[in-house]
Amino acid sequence: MFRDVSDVRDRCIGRSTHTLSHYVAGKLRCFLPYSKGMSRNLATLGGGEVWRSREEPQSELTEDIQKARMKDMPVEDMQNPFVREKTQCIMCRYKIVPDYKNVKLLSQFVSPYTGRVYGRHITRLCATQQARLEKEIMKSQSAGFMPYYFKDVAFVKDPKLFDPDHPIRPHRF
Amino acid sequence: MNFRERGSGDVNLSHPAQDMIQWKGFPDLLSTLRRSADAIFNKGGIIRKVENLGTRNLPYKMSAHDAVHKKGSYFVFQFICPPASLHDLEEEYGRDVDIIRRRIFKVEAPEEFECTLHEEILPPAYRYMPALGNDFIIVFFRYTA
Repeated sequence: MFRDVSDVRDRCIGRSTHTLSHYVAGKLRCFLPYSKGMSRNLATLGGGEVWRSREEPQSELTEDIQKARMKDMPVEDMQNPFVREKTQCIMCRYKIVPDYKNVKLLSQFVSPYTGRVYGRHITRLCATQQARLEKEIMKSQSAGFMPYYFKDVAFVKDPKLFDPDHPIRPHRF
Repeated sequence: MNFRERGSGDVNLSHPAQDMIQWKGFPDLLSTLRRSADAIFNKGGIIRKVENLGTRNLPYKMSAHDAVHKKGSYFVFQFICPPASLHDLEEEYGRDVDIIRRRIFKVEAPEEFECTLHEEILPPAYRYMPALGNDFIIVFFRYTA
């Protein structure tokens, strides 16, 4: 747990045996509270030495104090409690699977002016979902559920999932 | 009737279910449906369910068999059939005058995946950093349509 640095006199500066440092060294005892993975923090600067009186208090008290000191050490096996929640795209969050028959859902990601599918920088979907969505839209258009060149009139006033009019990068539609 | 589920190991019917959509002109709707169903049965298939998606204006004009169509009825047949007969089925539906458009899609359970949006919205310098644990390069940008 701790070791008695008995060669304290050697550590003291100077050779004279009647200086204050010698007196201090004679009266005090230095020990290093060890724990297996002692972290490098301010408490351990300077070698982590702790100077205590040579006159030891009761051994039980010392043990309790030692245990308490060990508890104060930083916890190593704890996960970061400040981890932020990962942002998810709207379709992953609500676990929506695009279907070629669900024209209303697919039309929400399509321009009302040209009928083109908005890019990922506008729809804010993750790559996989965007690829899925595009595939389903193509299927739907081919199968005759969804128009190609415009957005179905019935779905024009649907709630907007994103703002296509102020894109971070200009788009053609 | 005992329906054989997909993946049962049966050589004939191991193909997963298909969706077939047909658009039809108005006259003889029932007989057209009957004919389509019979075609599947004759090829050794089973129909799981038939859905009626209504009769409405088509999203765009379609021409089929020398006629232009603006209205149609939508039906979805979910069926299981041997894969070898799919080509014959398509050809048979192509010959049917009352069917405006037919499409056969494979029915598959959607793959499970994790949303990677939190990685994709990182600034460019942080998107691919093996030191931070990212093992992939994200192609952020792709022109569509």
